[in-house]
Amino acid sequence: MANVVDTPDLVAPRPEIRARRGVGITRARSLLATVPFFAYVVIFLVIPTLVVVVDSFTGNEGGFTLENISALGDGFIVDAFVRSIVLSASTAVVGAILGALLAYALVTAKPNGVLRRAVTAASGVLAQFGGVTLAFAFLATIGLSGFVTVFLKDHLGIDLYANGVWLFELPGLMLVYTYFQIPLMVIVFLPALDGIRPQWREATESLGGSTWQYWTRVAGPLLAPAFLGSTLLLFANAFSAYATAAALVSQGNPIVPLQIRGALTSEVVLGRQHLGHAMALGMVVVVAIVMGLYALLQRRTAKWLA
Amino acid sequence: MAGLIARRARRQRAFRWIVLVLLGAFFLLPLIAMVEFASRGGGQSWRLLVDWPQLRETYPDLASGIVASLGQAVLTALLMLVLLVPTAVWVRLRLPGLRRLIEFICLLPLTIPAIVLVVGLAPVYAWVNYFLGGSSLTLTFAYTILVLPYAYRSIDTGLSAIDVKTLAEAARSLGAGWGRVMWRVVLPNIRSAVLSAAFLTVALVLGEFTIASLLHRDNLQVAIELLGKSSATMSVAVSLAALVLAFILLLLLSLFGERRKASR
Amino acid sequence: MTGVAVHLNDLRRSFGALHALDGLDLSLVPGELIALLGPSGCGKTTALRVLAGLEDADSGRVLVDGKDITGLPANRRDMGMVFQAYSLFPHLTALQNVEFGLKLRGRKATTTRANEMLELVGIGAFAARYANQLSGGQQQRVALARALAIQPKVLLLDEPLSALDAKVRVQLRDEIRRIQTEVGTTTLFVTHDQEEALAVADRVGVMRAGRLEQLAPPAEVYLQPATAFVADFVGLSNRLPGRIEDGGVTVFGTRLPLVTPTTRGPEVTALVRPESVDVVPDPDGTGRVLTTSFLGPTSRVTVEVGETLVLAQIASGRVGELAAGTPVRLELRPVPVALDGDAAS
Repeated sequence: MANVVDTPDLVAPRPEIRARRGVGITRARSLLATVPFFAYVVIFLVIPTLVVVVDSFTGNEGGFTLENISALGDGFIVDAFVRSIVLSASTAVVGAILGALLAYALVTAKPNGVLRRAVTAASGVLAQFGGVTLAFAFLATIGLSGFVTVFLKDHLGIDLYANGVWLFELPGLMLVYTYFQIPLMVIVFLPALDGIRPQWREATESLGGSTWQYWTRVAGPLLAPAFLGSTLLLFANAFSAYATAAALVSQGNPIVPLQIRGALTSEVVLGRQHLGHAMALGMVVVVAIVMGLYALLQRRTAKWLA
Repeated sequence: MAGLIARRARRQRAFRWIVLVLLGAFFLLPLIAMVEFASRGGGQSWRLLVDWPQLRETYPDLASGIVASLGQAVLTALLMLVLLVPTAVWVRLRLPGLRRLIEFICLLPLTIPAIVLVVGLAPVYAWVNYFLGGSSLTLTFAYTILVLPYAYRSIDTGLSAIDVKTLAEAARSLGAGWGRVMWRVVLPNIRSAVLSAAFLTVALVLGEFTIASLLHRDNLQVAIELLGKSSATMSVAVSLAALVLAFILLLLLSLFGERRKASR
Repeated sequence: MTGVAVHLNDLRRSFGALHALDGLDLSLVPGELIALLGPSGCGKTTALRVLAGLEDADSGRVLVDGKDITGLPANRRDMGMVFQAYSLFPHLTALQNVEFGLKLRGRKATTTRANEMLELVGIGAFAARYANQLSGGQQQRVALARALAIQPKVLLLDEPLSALDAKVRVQLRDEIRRIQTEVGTTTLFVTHDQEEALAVADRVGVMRAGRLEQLAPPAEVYLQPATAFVADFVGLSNRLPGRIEDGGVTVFGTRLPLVTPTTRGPEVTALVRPESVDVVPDPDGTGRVLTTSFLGPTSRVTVEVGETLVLAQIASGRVGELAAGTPVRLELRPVPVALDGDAAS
């Protein structure tokens, strides 16, 4: 913005003031163009989120109350949270370890080779493969009349479900969730593995280090933030998942998302209308914390392995 | 010669193949089982899949679910493009200060699971029902929110790659109005980013279950789940078909991405 | 600390049809710095990596301090190495990087020694910094300190300055030379920059296609190139038509001695250095000045003689009388020259 010398003879407003006001108008006009986007987001994202938050603190008669939150301490809800956390944590850890092994196998292959590209593409697809289709895939595999179930019974005399049908309970969910956790780990962790330079291994060797010392003193510490962060991401992913569990579990609501289903379809105890909202709020808090930690770890990874 | 380096390379290769074979078996097994399962009963399911009029007659709910999902996919992709592309470009060009805010908003759906969102959407959709009726196509509004993170990341990457600011300034200095800048200068250059955002949107919408189911609307996945209760083989067949379709979509997407990289 | 002798005997390494090393024989005298110089793909880096144990040779032997270490894994060879890029471990400070090798061997008082090494390379003040807080030159100094901290038998430098800015490169190469002389470790220095090689080395080894073309002190490599490739690769050369006469080659009327006697003739192409060519204004001269390039203390003059373009390097003070178009004659100094097409000795 040019500076104009102030002369007392000028009658019109000084150009600098006019220019500043001009910028202000242009600014406002520019902002106007983003109104549709923000309006849309407010209606369909911000308001629903507010509804969840506000209704968590709303009693049956409409006043402010903390009883929904305290109701979260009820036995069956705490159990559901515990089971959700156990499910998410176990599939996150198993998915992280197996996924990391698979990613490591890929990174030792030719960088632009067929193998790596095929497996990466397949991982992209399988990571998205969730919900109803995955549930049905597993029903077809180890369901009561599934391919493997029948094979084991007819050819090896093994009855998978001799001690109960675990497929529709937590163990089953753990197995099925792993199916999309492993590919997700590959996608998220592979870039970090790519960031490990061969010079670091060679430097370690020339300084006298063994393979063990390389992994414990160099590669391990360097990959730890990425590995941890990826595990957290897997946790959040499993914790938020609904469709797969909904398709597999029709009786009972072992995990929190299914409890919310119950609350929404009015299977819940009468008089606790906003319990579902409180549970949803609880879910958001857990996922937000995990994603926050993930973001912090990602920054560390980027600093070392960009 | 000891060939120590060669020995290590061999060990890595052995490890690679062991891991791939074991995990590959784990991942292929359900897919094979799906094919086997759906082929029970004389392969009737496969025949129905390719015979649309017969399918519509035998499984009307499934047919309407497929149609609903396709409509939702198209509408969501359109709405996403109309909403996101101009905003993303505009923010880059004129309101760089808002960029962080937009980024944060677009990543928010990742932190708010669909199951939580649907709880809060119920009252909003009461209004939507009032104004627009209870059609399944109104799910588009919710779906556009769900795809925001993926679509935004795709379009943002595309905009970063082409230095929008310079292009726009050049066009403006030659006398183009904003509309023309958008339509004739920016859009053609981010074509592959836009296409990839559209593909991701379609894949996501076709796979969505949570919101459709809990808002009691029609949808491919909801129909499949319902079908599972009556005809197991057919539901597995359709699931496999949906999976293959998603796979083809994502494969095309990665091919597009490679072509773009090659041409640059 | 005195260095040890290193011998590379008849090393061969092929990648399919490509011969990275084609019978390389190289010996390093204790404490000396040999620079391996050559174009990309000549095998100099492969030779260094075979010596380090990071690559296997198909055949041949590596001897260090009298012992055959050909079969020894890299981590038992007691060598220090500095890489072209990504030398430092990003998750450790400069001090921790330097301590790394010492800690691996279970030494005590690692911090004191590490600080000493950082002082030696001139960046004691940056001990607490991480790699991404150091400039390229500073990182390479730390890498050098880390390599020397373990008192290696051999120091290996794989194009350590190639990724740095020109000014830093010049500064650092002198530092490296100073430190190496002080510490006395036998050193192999790989580079594609011939000025660098000539500046730091006790002897320069010029390589091509997996073999050594010449191994000699820098002055000898420059002034008495053994082959046409060396004459061409090290420094600039004019290709001038000449005629073999009386055991020498006559170029533009001046008889020049030959570096290596030849049985070829009579028409040959001689490789003449620009600084051996003098340009004198002469109204009857056969040459005409085309362009001049001011390079500071000296200037380059391009002269057209018939169909040939000749590059001459003269003191800048004289450029004034050599405007474009000035008729001149060329005077060649009687310095020995190589002939184009000479095979490797």
